[in-house]
Amino acid sequence: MTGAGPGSTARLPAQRPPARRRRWLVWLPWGALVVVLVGALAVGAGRSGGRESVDHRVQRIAGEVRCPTCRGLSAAESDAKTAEAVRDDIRTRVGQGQSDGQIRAALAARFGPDILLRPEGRGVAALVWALPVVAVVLAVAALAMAFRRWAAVGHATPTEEDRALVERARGAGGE
Amino acid sequence: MDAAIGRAGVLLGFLAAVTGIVTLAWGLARRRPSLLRSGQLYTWLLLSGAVGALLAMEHALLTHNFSLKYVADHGSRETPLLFTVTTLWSALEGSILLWVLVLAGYIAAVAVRFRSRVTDPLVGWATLTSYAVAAFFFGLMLGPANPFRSVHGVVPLDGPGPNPLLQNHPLVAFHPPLLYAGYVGFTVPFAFAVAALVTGRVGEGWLVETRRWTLLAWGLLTVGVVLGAWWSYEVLGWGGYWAWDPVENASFLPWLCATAYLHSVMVQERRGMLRVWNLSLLLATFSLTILGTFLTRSGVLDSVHAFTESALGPAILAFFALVVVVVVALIGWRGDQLRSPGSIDSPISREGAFLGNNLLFALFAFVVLLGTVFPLLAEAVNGQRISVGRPYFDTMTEPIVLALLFLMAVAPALPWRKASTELLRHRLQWPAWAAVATIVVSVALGVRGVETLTAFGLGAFAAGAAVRQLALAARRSGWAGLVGRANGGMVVHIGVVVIAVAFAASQSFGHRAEYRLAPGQSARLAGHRVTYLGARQVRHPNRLALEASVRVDGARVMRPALSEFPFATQAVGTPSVRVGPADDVYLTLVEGPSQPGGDAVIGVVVQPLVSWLWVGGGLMAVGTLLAAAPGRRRRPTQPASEVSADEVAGAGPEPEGERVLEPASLAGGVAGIPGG
Amino acid sequence: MCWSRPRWRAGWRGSRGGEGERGARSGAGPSNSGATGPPEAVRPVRAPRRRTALWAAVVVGALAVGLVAVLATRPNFEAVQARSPLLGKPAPELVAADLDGRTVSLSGLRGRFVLVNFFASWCVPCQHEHPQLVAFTQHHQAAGEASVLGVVFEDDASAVRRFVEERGVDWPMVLDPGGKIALDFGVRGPPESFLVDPNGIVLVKFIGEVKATQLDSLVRQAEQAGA
Repeated sequence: MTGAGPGSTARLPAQRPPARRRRWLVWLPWGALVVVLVGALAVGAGRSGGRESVDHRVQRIAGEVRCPTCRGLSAAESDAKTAEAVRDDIRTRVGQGQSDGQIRAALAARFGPDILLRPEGRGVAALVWALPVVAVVLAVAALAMAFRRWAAVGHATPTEEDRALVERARGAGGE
Repeated sequence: MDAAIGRAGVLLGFLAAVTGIVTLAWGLARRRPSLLRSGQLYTWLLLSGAVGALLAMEHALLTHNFSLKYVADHGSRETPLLFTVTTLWSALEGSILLWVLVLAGYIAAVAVRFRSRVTDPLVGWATLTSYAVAAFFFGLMLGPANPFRSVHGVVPLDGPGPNPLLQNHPLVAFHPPLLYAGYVGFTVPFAFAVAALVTGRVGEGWLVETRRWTLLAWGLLTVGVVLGAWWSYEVLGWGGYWAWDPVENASFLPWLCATAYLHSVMVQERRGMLRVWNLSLLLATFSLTILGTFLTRSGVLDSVHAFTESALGPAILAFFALVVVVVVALIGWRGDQLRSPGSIDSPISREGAFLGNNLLFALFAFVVLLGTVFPLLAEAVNGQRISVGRPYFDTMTEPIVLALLFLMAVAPALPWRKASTELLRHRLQWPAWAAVATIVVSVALGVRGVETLTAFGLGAFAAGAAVRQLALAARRSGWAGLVGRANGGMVVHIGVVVIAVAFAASQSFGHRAEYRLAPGQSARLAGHRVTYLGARQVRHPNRLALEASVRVDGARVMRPALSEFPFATQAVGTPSVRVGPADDVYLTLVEGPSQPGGDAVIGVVVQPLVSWLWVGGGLMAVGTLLAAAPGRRRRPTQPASEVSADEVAGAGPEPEGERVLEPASLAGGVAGIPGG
Repeated sequence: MCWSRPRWRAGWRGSRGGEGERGARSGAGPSNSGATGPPEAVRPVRAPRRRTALWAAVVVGALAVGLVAVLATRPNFEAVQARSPLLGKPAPELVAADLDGRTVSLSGLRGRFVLVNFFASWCVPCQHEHPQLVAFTQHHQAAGEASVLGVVFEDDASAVRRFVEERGVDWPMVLDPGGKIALDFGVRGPPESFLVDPNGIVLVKFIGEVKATQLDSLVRQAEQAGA
């Protein structure tokens, strides 16, 4: 019952018939655990401090845009002048009420699509998001097929000569 | 003189490698053990060549021999001694010298370790493969990346010194050598994997023999990567430590495959399965090393770490293509023949968990590789360059990391072959409570956001499982219980959890702002008060620094600076970090005062738990050392599936000792582990 | 691969090619290959050999070949074509003060070709291309067909003035406080230049130094196409 291999000499504890009550009791602490967990997550799911401030929004959008003169940094992280100019521009646009997408599009309209750190758009750029998902689906499918094949094959059982070989080894070389 | 010795050393190394290849190939083809023996001797010539060349270059740097182009381009009389020494690896050609020395060192170590089996064709093929890799890198230095080129025309009196960013912090003395030691260290298991495929001998002790090499290389690479993150944090001035930069990814990809290998090899030792997986992972690790070298040194990708553009690109790419062809051909030819006949009975078992682990790490590596090279692929298709930056990597890797944390918690509790709910319930109870308690405490402390809470909870789950196993082992065997592969591995897991939690916390709860302050003025950010006191100019031998004095929280005075180096066009910032157990206060001088006593712009970044990253890295290093030490040994003939009395009674899992196959304990004819 | 080996290594001979073929279908059990294998007569029926590794290797190999092909044909990052989204569109509005405080606007220069040149005194390639801009100006400014409009990129006015005094600049050089003009034009770093036609449409973007001859021929081509 606990996965003992063939020929094992482990002794299992005496089995009492699993009374309904006993089984229920065993699962109780886990049930409590799940309840507490869900409760904590429900409380913790909301955003802290209410709505996003302008500063925060500017930082967030700037974090998805490259700093034009830096190598590899976002406009939020860099303290270069061009990054500051980008942040000021974003702030102005946020003040004008533009949406995140509009702001990003306006920047891309001037610098080119490679100013955006998050690849957007249909076509080729969508591939970079789709391919990993495809990979996951393929992996899960391959795993399922493999397990089905292994289950169909069944367990190996030792033959007489296998047993003889193992006896010889244990007798001759065992520690 | 330096140039002559250096060139001679490189030539010696190259010729030794090539002659070694020819000798060993002949010996293996014609089955002549004497040739195999003599082929090994070329290792020492290789090592001498590498050492000689390195010493020649260091001598040239230290004596400021500007007749060498490398010294003229990267050396300087004003550079402090430490940074003069590290100039060796601060530029492209010199870094190849370091690579070659580390590689020669590893080949020599292999020759010593396996000297009693020098006529074994497995060892012969492994040495041949290592020679081939060494020949490539020596060849690079004979051709496009020659560090011993002489200056044309007049010999300059002084040089510009290395890149200012590489003279700013002593970490530059540790990060590259350790990184290379790890990176290059994977050549040894790769060579043995190739040898195993060529000779068809997979199910033997070579795996156990090279396990420590792989573990050592992995540990060194881990430390190298963590030090790189630390260097990025302390030096580059943007307040972050990991940007999913192409060069960072290049060092991370082999690490992922090697981690998968270190886990999956346990399945091979126990049940003889996943052999082809393990071989493929080792081969992939090395291939990714070469690909990473190409991406770093070819200039096709924009990176804050990149070396300047060089002519090395085509050569390294050609070598990568060769490696891929060899790897693919070997797996395609031999892979199916070497498959073991065993099967995994149930997905809910240790083997199933390791197989899932392999897939997760392979997916992780795929995502990182895709994101790194995708701009190039997209450009090839429609000519438009797009960027794939941090938002992509963060979004894609988050679920994978959460899944890995879950596996980290559950897999050590799973028994081999088949699990029962009773067993799992018993073993996972305390870790589960630890997880929920952590989430509740976090919510109480004001942490919000399902993703962050899940990360904390799963981290506590994994840490709880690891601590539980360590506690049981310590109770059973005292301090000795902490040593050995399983328990060292648990310490490493705790280190990983610490890093994951620190990553999640510092990314989600960082605060960043810039303040224009007059002398004496203060600003507040995230509960810390920074007061600008003033600025002054300080002359160092190699730079002119404008240092600002900033008092943090009324206590320590930090000095962020802007340094002007003589040959750099713009000033380089030197950040100042106040490290704390709960959070770090990171200061940069964005703009100095235009006149004495004027305003300065101070950048402040406050991020929680950043110091935990370095602690986690240290734990991983300690865990690796513990895992490398020999632990309790099982009897080699104890069946893998036998359930011990302890497990049945529910007292806890038996801590796994290391399973070592000694030739003496095997009777003639028995290959050892069931399944080969 | 079967020459004689020292006796102690007999036990090291592990699985050989072909062992994987024995399926676990019947009582073959865990492999026990060694010096003596069972004779063929009692060998159980073999499962058909799966070629998973071969196919996986082929797929990976094909992908790797594709990757290598792509990588081999990439130009260096810094040499990427100047594909600005502004090409073919009206140039952004440019109104700024020059070094002497006079207001200059791009629209005020309508009717001729304008090379909007982003410049910094600390930028070495900018210093290199300066003679080219001088030559271009000399060819076209007098005739009123084309002129240069310089924009200072992240530099002090004093440093630029020093450069102007030393090297001589015959065209208006405007300051760009806050980097707004650079942002509007999508400039990543000097030197970058934009050739704007007499109608205010951006024709070409140059990343890096420009050559007077190149500019001349482009102006000529555009005139012939337009006129």
